[in-house]
Amino acid sequence: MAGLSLRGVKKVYPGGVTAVEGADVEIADGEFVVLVGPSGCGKSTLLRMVAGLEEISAGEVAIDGAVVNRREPGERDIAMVFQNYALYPHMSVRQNMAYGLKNVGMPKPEIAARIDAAAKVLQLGELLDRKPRQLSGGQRQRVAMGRALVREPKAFLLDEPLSNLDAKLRTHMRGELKELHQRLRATFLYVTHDQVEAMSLADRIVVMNAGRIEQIGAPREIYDRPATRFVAEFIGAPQMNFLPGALLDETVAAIGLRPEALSLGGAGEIRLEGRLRLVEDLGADRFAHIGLGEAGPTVIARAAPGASLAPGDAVSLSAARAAIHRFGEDGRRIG
Amino acid sequence: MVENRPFLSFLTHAALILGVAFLCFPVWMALVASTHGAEALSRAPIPLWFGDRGWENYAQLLSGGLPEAGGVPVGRMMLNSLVMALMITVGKIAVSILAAYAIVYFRFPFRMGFFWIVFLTLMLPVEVRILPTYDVAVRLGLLNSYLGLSLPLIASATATFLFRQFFLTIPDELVEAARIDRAGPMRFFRDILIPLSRTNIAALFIILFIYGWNQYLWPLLVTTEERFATVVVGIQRMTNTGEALPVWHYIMGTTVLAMLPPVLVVLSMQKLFVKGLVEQEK
Ligand SMILES: Nc1ncnc2c1ncn2[C@@H]1O[C@H](COP(=O)(O)OP(=O)(O)O)[C@@H](O)[C@H]1O
Ligand SMILES: [Mg+2]
Repeated sequence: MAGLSLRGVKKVYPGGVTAVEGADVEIADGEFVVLVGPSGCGKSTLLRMVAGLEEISAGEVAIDGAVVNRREPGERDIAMVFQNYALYPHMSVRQNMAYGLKNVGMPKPEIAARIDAAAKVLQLGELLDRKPRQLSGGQRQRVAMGRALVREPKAFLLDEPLSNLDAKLRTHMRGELKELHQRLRATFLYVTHDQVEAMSLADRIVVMNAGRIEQIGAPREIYDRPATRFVAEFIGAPQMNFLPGALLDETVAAIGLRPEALSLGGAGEIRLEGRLRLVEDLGADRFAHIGLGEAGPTVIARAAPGASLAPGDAVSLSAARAAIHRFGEDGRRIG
Repeated sequence: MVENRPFLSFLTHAALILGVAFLCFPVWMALVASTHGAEALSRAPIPLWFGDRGWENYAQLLSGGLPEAGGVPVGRMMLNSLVMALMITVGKIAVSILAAYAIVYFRFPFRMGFFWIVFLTLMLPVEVRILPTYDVAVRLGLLNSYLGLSLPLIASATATFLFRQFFLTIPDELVEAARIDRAGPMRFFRDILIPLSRTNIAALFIILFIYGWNQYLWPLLVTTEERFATVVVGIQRMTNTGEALPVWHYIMGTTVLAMLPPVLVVLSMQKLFVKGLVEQEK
């Protein structure tokens, strides 16, 4: 196990597309770092440069202190889990897991021991002699993880490994992955476009937008103190409410309030009047969409449990001034 | 058919049976003719049922006592055909799978240029380039040899193209997984590409074997010695008897024998072929 460092890593594709513009990330040994951002922002490109599958246009990638820019993927001592799992279709699960080890000339007994150990951790026991086509999506995902595990790599690189699973299984596998990380204490670099996955898995999150890193920080930090308006919008569901600063007597260009910071009724330092447009009941939470004035913006507030709400009602909203996020013209956080 | 109407189903079956009979009739005639004597076949009406000379005819053919066939046993001709067909088939598959591998997976100057050159040779089958090819074969001393029979027919644009199309459908992720698993170019080819191409290889084997087996013009040119005669050329020789009556019973017997290996290849490879179609591996 070892740390990763990316220093000014840049990628310009042959067509002239700049996919990543100078990324600097330091990942400590044993850390679980999630790269998150909208589709097309360059997450995969950055991960693939670490893996060695994509040439690095500028900057340096170091694994365990050694610069690996010129090393082949197989020589970087990393393991990768792909979105579509990329299992060899003609090989059994066991052969899939053994292949990389066989290629480096590892003795058979050791290969077998490693496969057994990984199979135990991932509960692959009965699946070892099946072909990938005889497995369900979740099982394939686990085999892909197993293939990474047996390599005992310095770092695990995962590119949207759960995005081909249905919602329920995804939540389940997310839990398994987190547990696996806690057990292995290995370095993970994980790519996803799903902010929930990022929040729940990461020790630290790297938020990317259009090839640039917007913010790096612990999930709580990113959520509580988003560095830019983009990060504030991207992390959290439902999304943060944005209002012109003038509306609340602030001098900044825009202010943001999370839905849970707004309470219906109540007495806060800030008060807003509006009319209830609709209520989304998600079971544990209810979100009220409230129009401020006739043609004004709509904000979303989390409704307290029990309160009776009907569309068309006039409601008042309140919030603490301390809950306000302030953003300047350039989208950067102020204060 | 979704509907169950007896008359319609009778009609469909009748049409299908008629089609099968139409296709099988020449084969039937060849089989029947090969069991009669020469006289029976030169008289009208020609027999439609088996005669009693089958054993004799086939024994004659296989022992090689026939001056009409140049005294070469048909077994020998079939061996020649088999060697030629196998060399062509294996050669074509080997060359084209390697060519497709290079074109799809390696970046080298004029890559697409090479691809198009290979592709253009589709328009240059042996029949078109027969004189220059013959000239080259003579200069290389390939007349009357198995190499001469097969080598000029080995390059195959069709097979190269088919393998290329297949390789392009293999997901990039699989190639990348192999790179991470430290499979170099040769290992990737041997451990991943070839096993994945198994069904394509089987299908091509059937097609190319029959192509090779049925070669006529080129073997006729490049072999002058009887011991290199292939069975298809042998049949042609037997029909060229000049003044004498063609030995139809022997010709038909040879035809029946000549049909056997392609049929065997189709039957044995079909299993793999169909299995490949049923178990989608991607
Ligand atoms: N092989 C490539 N050639 C040219 N442009 C590419 C290539 N791969 C990705 N891109 C471009 O680079 C950008 C980032 O892509 P990617 O890293 O795949 O995004 P993400 O994984 O965040 O969705 C996109 O604009 C994409 O179109
Ligand atoms: Mg991606």
